[in-house]
Amino acid sequence: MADSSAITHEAVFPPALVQGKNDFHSITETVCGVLEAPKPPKSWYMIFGTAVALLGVLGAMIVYLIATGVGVWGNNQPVAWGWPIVNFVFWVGIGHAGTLISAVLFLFRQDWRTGINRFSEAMTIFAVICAGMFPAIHVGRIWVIWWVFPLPNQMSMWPNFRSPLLWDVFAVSTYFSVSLLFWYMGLVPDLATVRDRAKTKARRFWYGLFALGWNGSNRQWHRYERAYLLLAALATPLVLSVHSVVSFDFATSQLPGWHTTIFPPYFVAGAIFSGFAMVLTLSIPARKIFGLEELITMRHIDNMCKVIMATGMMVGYAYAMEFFMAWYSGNEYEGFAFINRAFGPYWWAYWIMVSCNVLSPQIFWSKKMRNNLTVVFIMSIFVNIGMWFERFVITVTSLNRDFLPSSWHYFSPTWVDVLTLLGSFGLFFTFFMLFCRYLPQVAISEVKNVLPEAHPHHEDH
Amino acid sequence: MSHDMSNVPSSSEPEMYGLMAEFHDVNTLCAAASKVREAGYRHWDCHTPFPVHGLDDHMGIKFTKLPWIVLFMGLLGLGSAILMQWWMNAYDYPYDISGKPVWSIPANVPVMFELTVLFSAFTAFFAMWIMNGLPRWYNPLLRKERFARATDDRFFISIEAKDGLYNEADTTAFLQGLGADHIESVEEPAERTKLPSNLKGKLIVAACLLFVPPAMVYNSYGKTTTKTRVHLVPDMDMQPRFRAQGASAFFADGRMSRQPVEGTVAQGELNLDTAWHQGKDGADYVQKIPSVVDEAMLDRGRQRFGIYCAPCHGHDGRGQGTVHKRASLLTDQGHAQWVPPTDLSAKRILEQPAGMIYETIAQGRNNMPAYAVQMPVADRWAVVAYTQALGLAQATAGPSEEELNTMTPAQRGEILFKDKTCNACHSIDGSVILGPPLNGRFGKDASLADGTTVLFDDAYVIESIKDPNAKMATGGLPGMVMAPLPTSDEEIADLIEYMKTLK
Repeated sequence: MADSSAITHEAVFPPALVQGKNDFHSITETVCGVLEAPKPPKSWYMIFGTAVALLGVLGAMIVYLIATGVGVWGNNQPVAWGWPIVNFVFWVGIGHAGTLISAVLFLFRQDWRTGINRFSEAMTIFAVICAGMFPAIHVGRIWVIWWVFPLPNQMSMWPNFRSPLLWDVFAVSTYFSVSLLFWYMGLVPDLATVRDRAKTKARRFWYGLFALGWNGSNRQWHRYERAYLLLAALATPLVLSVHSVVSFDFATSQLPGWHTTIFPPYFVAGAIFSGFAMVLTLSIPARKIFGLEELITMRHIDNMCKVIMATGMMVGYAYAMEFFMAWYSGNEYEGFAFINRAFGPYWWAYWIMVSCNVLSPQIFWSKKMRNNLTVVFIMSIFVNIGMWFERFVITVTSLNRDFLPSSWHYFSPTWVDVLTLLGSFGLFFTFFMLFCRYLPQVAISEVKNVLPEAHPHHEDH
Repeated sequence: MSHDMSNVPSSSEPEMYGLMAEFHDVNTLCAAASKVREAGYRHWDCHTPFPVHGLDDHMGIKFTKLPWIVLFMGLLGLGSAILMQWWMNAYDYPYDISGKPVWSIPANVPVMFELTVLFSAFTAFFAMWIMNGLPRWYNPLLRKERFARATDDRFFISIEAKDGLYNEADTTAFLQGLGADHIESVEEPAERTKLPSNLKGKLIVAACLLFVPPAMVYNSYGKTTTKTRVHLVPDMDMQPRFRAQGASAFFADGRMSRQPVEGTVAQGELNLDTAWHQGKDGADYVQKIPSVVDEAMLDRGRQRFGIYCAPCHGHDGRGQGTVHKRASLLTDQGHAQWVPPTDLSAKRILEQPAGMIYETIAQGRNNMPAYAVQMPVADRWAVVAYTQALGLAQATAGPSEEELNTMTPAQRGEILFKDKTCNACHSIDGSVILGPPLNGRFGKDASLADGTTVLFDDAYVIESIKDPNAKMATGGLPGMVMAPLPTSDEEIADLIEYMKTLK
């Protein structure tokens, strides 16, 4: 016992979730310090400025689109679903990590979620806003978009509830609403903290307004925690259902390359994969810029790398299984669709996807690489690129060579397509930068709860 | 403890909110909470910057009913989703999607699931705030400077003045005994800010204004207007397009209308060959079948005729089919009215143009129904060809069995005389062809080749037909023998009757 020098504490137990000499007050100071600083760091201005400029580009593109018509995009027969749907699925996928971290990891009692959950929930909401925008502007006549909801209209018609596109409306809007509630509910105690530290009247009013009069009452904490658990339990199947329903948009059609039962789990794994990559892309710079290294620790990053590696291999398995089923089914159209996918006119997109999503995460087998922030950041960008290409490959390669060879057509995006995608990043980062500046980026009350002194010792028992 | 306490006279005690005690760690808090509960206080609370686990037990908080409310509302969401989808897609506006049943659960599961989650989540969120009495932006505790640390790093116990056990001095002492770092009394504010006096009126006006848009919608509901509609997107509502007789600078011939592509058939022009499709050339029926009639066509015609025509017209086309026989029987018994089918070998049918027979098949005639649905055009012409061939064959074939039954035996015998080729050797006018003539022989003696005579009667005729050479009569060319003919007894009887008439 005495000379088991080889076995250190670190080798047996994971490092503490809060590093450094932190107590309750210093955590409050660290997180609130970001939004109480008179001025944000210079890099914040740079990123925010770029994001607002891109947001302006997005606005211009949307006005141009609505004023002119969807013909300004590259969408045409047979590729009627071009970049707008690719971008929609891409952003919805990113929006999955937030709820997964908040809800699924909460149910599994993974305490390490506390450092990153606020962050990724915010990311989820902004990503779903970006996602929802694409189908909305894709309908062309956006002033009748309310026809997708079951509201009485002048045609006396109701929506068709057998359409996966309608399921999408319900799934994505439910997901957005529930994520927003979940996020806001988690924010309330922290907004009360900011309110109670406020030095100006405006801050006291605005943070006080949204803090709803929270005073840390334990009778309220009791119901609050129960409601939080219920929301987590509800959000867990919800997060799995949303990307399953998104995959139904493809899987319930008769098109070879889309018509497969593997789509729902495959899409969900891909969504988690891309969502975690985006959390890394955002948190690695953010923790440095805002000095949150002691709360978002290397252990968090290490864990996320492992999740990325696991989901990356699930996605790789799905890619392989699609090819196997195409061969095993003996369906020559299915077989053609997949040979065309890997070796047809879009072979370059397919192999970008495979290298980014399947090959590159394999580097995370090495602990050294998981602890190298530069490598992790670059890998997370690769995964983002790869997952965008996955949606491009699924959508475009299946459509561009469909049943009628006479209508085969090589899809090319227009400048409007490209600028709209870039603009959606502007929308996302504008929201995200505002969040970083004006809201607590880390769940203060939850992080305090993982400190050892937060738990009473039962000496009298 | 605080300076307020000494200043507050006892008469203003109702203005006190209560006491708050500050603790610096969770262990002291939990122990204190147990004591407060054991002391019997009811209107009290703990305030912590994060949920302290185990504190609920120390405080004796009963488990919330929130999960049951969420369950109920979740089920309500599920029920609403089922009802909504059934009402919208199966009842109020039934959709026919690929002929599937208008109501089948699997297609409705995704929306059922989403609405269950949506209702549950909204309930968990809003019911939690309502049960917590929030939002409540005013709380006397929040006025206390020290209390700001309740959301940072300190723990508080507050006991309200309205509690039955509350007594300022005693309760303060009690809290001090629990290890509180600091105890402070909390007052209700002396004066509460009042709502602006004219707010009520403004709210009433605002509420009335809210009814204006729905009232305008209701006013124009179900009415027409002569005003030009507003074109939100003029280039979509009024698109440039080609008009049938318009001029075009684009095409070489200066017209907008284009000729159809070579070899294509325009919609509605497929049946322009009226001879083939209607059996008519202008107003007149075509005389002949407008295609080559070959054996394959006649075979097809006979096969189709056997299916569609023979039940009434009979396989011989004489109009004596099974249906006709049954119908005639019923008519005889007074159960039915029946127009007999046409005899296809009748002269008027044989003289009909092919186009008219075709039209009869396609459209029906008298009480014969139309067969256009059952028979494609080529089949109708095949039946026309077979009908004509059958009619012609029947017209030259002699009487039908039915007719034979209505004839006298002698008439039948006359026909048999030809059918059995008796007339090839025997004349009926006394001349000798090969055998002896048969006129004026019956009932008389006939001389035989061996010199004897025999009476030419029934027995002799029967014997002569069955074994002609047994008693060979004279009168024919010498050396002739007669071959025995396969003939039934009834036929022989008819022949005998016929012979009796030959003088």
